[in-house]
Amino acid sequence: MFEGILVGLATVLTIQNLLLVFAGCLAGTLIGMLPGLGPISAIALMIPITYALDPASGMILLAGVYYGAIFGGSTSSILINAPGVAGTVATAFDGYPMARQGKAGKALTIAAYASFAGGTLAAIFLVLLAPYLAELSLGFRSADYFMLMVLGLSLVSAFAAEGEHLKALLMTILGLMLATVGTDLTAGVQRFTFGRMDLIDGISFLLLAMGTFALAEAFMMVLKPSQSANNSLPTTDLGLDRQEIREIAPVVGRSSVLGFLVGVLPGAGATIASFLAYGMERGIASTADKAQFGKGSLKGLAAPESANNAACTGSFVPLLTLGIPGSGTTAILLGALIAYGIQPGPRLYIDQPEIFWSVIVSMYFGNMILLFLNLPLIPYIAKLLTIPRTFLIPLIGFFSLTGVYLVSFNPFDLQLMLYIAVCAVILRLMTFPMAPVLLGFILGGMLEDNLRRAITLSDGNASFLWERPTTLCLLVLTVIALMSPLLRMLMKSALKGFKDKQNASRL
Amino acid sequence: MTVYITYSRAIGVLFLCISCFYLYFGHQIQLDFWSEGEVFNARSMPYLIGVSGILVAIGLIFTPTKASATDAPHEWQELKQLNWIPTIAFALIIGLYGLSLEYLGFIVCSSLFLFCSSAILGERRWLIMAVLSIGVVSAFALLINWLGIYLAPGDLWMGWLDV
Repeated sequence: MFEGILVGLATVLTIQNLLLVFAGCLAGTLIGMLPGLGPISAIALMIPITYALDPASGMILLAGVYYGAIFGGSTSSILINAPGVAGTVATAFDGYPMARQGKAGKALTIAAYASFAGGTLAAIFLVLLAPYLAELSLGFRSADYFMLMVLGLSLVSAFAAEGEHLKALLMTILGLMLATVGTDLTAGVQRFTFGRMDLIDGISFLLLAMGTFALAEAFMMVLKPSQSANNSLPTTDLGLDRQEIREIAPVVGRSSVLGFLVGVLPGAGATIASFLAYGMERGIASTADKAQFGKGSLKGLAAPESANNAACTGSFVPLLTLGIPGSGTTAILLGALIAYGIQPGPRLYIDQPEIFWSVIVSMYFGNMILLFLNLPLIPYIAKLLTIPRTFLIPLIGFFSLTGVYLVSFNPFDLQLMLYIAVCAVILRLMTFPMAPVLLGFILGGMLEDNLRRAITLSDGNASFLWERPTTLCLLVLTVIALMSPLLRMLMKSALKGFKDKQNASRL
Repeated sequence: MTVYITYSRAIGVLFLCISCFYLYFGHQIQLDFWSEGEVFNARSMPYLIGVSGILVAIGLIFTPTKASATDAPHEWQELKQLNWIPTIAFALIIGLYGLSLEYLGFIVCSSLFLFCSSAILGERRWLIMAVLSIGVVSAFALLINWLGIYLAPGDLWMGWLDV
């Protein structure tokens, strides 16, 4: 293994390759900041450029672009509440409130450090555990996936205030409903399209994310001008003190492990990892810390950031060891590898170790250069928020609308996005959380596919839910997550009754 | 006993109606004859979601809320104090942007959108508004062009070019 790492280091540590990873990170960050252009688009745009390079250098450039685009997505989530890709939705929950409190610089710094730490830990896991995890991920069946999705959905309570879990549940169901719009690809029939051609492909994630977050936020800033005035606060506070580092360090460690493991599963990816990490951290936080989630919690920002980066690295496990792309981005990378004449799979490690190791080492270098590149840029990026609101709000509207239009080139999507944003504003004014809508929407399609497969394989028998130990474990965790608000309420009332009794007996 | 119409209850009632409609339209999904006998078909998931929606909406309507006799009307009063007129105007501008984008073309339509939105929000430095609107949109269009994404110039200008 050490020989392999040395081979990788020898490949990466040339001036040309270091410059390539630097250029990749910079280009990826800039492209990723634009709503609508995520890692997939960024890598796809860069592939033609890499044809002029040798395979190892090409992969090094693409790895830089990949990490840069993810960090760029986090930047737009934090600064303008516009998560351009699903993996950075959870970053906006606490990143954006921090930016509104004048802590945009600190939020970006935490995002950079958490991403770096998540990527580093995941790279170590990748080196040590890749072959074993690949085997394990193949043992994950549709019933397990289904329960994993249900577990993800049951974590909606993480997005609800105390006593408002039903609201979060209702919003999740709304997201699930929206996910069923369009053509059912398995059966080939249209659902809820009402005869409109524009809805045949369903509602895009980007449209929903931009409508419920970015455009709705722009409306809220117009509706409540006094609240948006905070955006002009100076953003000089960039560093983290020891107390803050001590606070987020365990969060980063836990979320990285979780993110990496979820990333290893084909199809699960950074989105589920970031939501699960956010839910897990909120679930185990103390009552005082829990109240801070959604209002600018450092833990709430660090958890999804480290998890999504770790999941991105984890998604390379099935790609490099089995030749199976676990996500859209790794599918594009697989295409690039095949175009170079390299076939990823079990033989890659033996036949072309320099490629295998240079990809792993360059991923780590990509992370490191991203940190060195972005830390000095953060004060300038954060200054974006000091733009007067009379210009900032139209710019948020413009980038959200353009991001959606550039994906479909269909003006109907802009109208639909406006309706969604108006509904989101009404729901937000009535204190309904918006994050569960996106969570339900993202998981809805995968949930249906896996449920369909599991039920069909078990011939309509629900026993698939408890027949396998993995499914059963996930089922138990889901029941605990769903029942926890009720159990907490019962425990509180029991404790109160006990205290009242004690006081009465003392009197 | 007085039942107060709180935000939660109002949305609960609305969502109950939406879930019923969803379930009804879910039942209308056309199935192929061989899909009807399947254990899980295109209607199954909408049934599950629709029924769950109805149950949760009923739960939300009938769950006792913390709202007191003074809270419920106060919730609705708060809405009246918001800045509605510029918000509606901003929404209309977005609607118009969507409708005229293909006709006017990306650069003209987007520049007008930025200019008018700033004006609605109270900005009166006309020169800065014009420079910023045209500058941002042109820079963005150049970037998009550099990335190889084609932006049509707009039906209006295409018509002129034809002439």
